[in-house]
Amino acid sequence: MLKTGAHRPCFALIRHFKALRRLSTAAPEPSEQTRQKYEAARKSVTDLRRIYPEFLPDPKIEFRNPIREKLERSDMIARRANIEIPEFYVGSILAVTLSDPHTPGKFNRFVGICIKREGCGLRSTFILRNVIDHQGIEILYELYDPTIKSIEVLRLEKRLDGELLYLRDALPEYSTFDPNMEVEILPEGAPVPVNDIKVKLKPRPWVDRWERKHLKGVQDLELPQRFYDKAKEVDTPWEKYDLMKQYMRTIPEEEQHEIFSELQTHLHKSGVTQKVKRKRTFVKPTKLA
Amino acid sequence: MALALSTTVKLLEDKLLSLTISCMSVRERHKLNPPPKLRNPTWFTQKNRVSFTDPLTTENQEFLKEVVQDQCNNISSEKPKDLDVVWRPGLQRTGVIARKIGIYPMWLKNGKKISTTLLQVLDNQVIKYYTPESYNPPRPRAGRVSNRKGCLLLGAEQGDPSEFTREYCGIFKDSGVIPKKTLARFFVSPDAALPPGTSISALHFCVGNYVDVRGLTIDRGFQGVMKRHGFKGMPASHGVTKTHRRGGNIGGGGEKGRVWPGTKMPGHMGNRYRILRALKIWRINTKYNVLYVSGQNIPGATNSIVYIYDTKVVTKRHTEPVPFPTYWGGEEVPENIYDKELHEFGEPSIVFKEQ
Amino acid sequence: MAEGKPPRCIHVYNKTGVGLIGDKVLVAIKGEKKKGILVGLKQNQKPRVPKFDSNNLVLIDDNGTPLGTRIHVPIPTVLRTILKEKTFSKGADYTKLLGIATKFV
Repeated sequence: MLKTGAHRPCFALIRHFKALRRLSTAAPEPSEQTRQKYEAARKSVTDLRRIYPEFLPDPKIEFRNPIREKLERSDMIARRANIEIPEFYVGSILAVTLSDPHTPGKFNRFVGICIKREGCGLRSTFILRNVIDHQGIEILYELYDPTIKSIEVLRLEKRLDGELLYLRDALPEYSTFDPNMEVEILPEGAPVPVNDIKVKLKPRPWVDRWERKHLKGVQDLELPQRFYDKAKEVDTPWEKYDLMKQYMRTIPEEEQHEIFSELQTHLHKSGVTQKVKRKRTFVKPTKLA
Repeated sequence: MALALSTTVKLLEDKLLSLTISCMSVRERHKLNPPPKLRNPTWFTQKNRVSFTDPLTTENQEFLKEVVQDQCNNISSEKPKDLDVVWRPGLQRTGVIARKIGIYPMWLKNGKKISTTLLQVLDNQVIKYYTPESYNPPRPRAGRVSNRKGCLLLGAEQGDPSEFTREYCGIFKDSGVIPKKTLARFFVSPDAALPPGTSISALHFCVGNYVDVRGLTIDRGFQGVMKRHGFKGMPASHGVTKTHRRGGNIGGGGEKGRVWPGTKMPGHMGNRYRILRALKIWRINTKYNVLYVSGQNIPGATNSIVYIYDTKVVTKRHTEPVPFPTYWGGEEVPENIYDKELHEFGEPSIVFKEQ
Repeated sequence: MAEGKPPRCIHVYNKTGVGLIGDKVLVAIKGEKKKGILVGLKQNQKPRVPKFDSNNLVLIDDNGTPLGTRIHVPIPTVLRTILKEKTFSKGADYTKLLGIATKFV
């Protein structure tokens, strides 16, 4: 959650940290032009950070090595040249077609909603969930798996939460998606829509203690008060003010800039741009979840 | 009777010898006359110098750096003209000093996923060669057959000579190499001897070869018996009193009613050299000199030094010629060399076809 | 009496006591002991193998022939290779249940 830089420190703090890192050479005050240029560059980095979160390496300092990260990035870009791995978020509906070693010659297609997205680099994975014949099914896929033939985004949208694992305890209608659903195309340049649906959960027992997770996309849990009291006891509301913790869990902005500028040059070279399919006008979907 | 001093000494010597010979068949003989335990090996030299911040200007500092560079010879990666050795099975060539830079998944052409560790071969240069006769190991083992292998001293990671002591820099004097931070010995057949100053790169190895990797394991400190030896411990509840992670019984009774030496107990874990055998090289990146080796359990933390050499496992030794004594360069090599079974990321997706 | 209870696994025919997809298990169902093959698990699986919201079982007899006529729930394709291997090593034909399955995931 914090790894993708969702809660970045503000610009003043970034400058403070930058100063800390370069104690010997004091940088002069940036002029208005350079500041505007920096702002523009920073905005593009912010966009790419949301679209390609797996390009950011593991922020743990013990595991970091610039050469390995460079090699990993070049491999990821080489794979992306063969298959279009689109922009998607938790809550989007995807269709994955892969070549099955157990049924040679045939392709397996699975449609589902993305409930979780984890991992960095070549290890990045996502979980798709769907309900088929009244049976809830979840499949974990690796983004850079070479047996995957294609990944299509049928509906691009975001939800109010970063992970939708609570759909396992929700009523099955919230996880049912038509396997023959058609691609819903958004107008070009439009921001990613946020679906603020409030899901109704089944009665307890649940897979996890959802009252402790601060979920926004769930209806009122209707639990006895003692659950909420215990959740308050266990809660750590001070964590969001812990700047050092945040700093250790994020990649510094200069390095992010380097990573994404490298990515941008490669994308321009290969001719792959981010929003390719959104050229036609908006078509109202016939079947809803 | 007054005996001469020399005869007394000789008598004493004979007596001592008879004592030692009669003690040959005693249990725990190594404890009777233990060899002296040296604090440092005979070849040990102090490495780092106490550094002073010299009050020099930046220009003077740069000038000093240039002087150091001029004094040392250039890196020679060309084959010396009189070196004409052909590989044959049974010869041992040098190893290489590398750094473990990370772990990466890769996929094979049959769809299987493997974990590979990236080992970056640092700027290795040969510093000295000891012939089998002249090589003097720090702990000579009595009764051993004379050493048939020579010893090559390799250095890696260029360092600043002003940080090292004069003794340490003296090791590099003959070869003309700028003092290196890491040194390592590799045993080689006399045919595989290399002249000092020769540089060794990742192409010393071939894709598909098997290697042994020696590294210093992560220091885990004082660890209990469950982590250190894999004991199962005891239940967390059901009346168990104050014994959840302990070792339990440490011995039996009877005639041998004592704790045997070697009984597994808590203690210091890690920070030891361990060798992982017969790891396959799947890919070589020639731009950054990186070997992609199978396995994710190479001893050592990320960014630590490891030592790589051809495997000693009999079934996995190479049967085809390899760059011997080392790779001299001169050919055009692609940036990445892959194994036949490995799926390259630039290739199209894997499709399983009907047989 | 035992009619309202869901089937309960009482033994797993495995060296480890943990049942994985394709393992034969002994199940107590409606007051009787019957054998079955695990067809879907709630356990977290490897990549590409589906994970189900309930543990699913197909009842079989000792020869491996399923007792029912159709399987309505989708079945993982991994079962094709797993059951083929089991058929070769054990002697009983376990691949018959793949024939009565309606959907593969």
